[in-house]
Amino acid sequence: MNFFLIAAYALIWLALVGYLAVLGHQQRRLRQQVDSLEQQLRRISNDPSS
Amino acid sequence: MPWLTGGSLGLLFIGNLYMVFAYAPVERTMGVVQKIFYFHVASAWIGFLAFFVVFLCGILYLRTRKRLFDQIAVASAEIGTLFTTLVLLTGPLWARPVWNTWWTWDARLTSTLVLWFMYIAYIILQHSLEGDRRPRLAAVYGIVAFANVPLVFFSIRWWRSLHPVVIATGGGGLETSMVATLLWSLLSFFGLYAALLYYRTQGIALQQRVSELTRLVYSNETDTKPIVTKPVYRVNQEHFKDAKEELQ
Repeated sequence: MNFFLIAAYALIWLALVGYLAVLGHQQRRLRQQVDSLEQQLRRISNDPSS
Repeated sequence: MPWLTGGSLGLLFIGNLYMVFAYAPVERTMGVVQKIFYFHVASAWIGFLAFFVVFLCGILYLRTRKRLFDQIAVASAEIGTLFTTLVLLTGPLWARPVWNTWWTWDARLTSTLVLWFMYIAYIILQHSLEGDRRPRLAAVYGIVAFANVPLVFFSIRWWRSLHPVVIATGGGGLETSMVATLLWSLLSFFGLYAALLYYRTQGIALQQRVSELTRLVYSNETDTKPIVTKPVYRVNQEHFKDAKEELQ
């Protein structure tokens, strides 16, 4: 029972920290997306034909 | 920053595991299953804190109309719902050996389930509406929904309930080592909540920025957001004019 409880406890904690890691990864991906879109916009604004 | 967060949370977690399973004594009547208490109570209190943040940010949003408060409120509601889900899962795990039933329609259990549904509705509301109405309606809903939190907390005092009282006047009957373990669990869960709130709020802000920028790129609306600065464009035009004149 004790082992089962420790394992369950650790598993739930790992799941929560895993969620945190997913959020961190998502944040990095979104930052890259923002950077690339801002570059695209800058290119559009610098292009005199547009 | 992510490594520092991960490292501190790891230390808090290892300390928590030690406190729960090695430091805190095994309760005489319930045995080892009582140790769920440290997880269950900490999750519940952090859930309440998260919903209080939703309430507070709702008021601040309505007063200032700053988008940040709306973003924090959405993030906090999601995390609070996650912690309340853990409460609703760990409660029956404790109740089965102690009460001999997984679930009973007791005042505390029922009001917690209602609270969970209310914040699920809040999340649905936040994701289904569009425009300026969304944050305003969500802020009002977040303020009203918080009324259920004190109801959940005091339900075991106001109505007849099977649920044990953790904080009682004249002492909750907990040993000092048990109180210290509960406080450590609270600290660990608070650390996790703070980290989740920070990353989720940033994520929501970035998602909104991505959709704004995407709209700008594809509709070529350069005057809605000052990312495409007109002075830069004018400078470039002048530069081209000078170059043309030189060529002629």
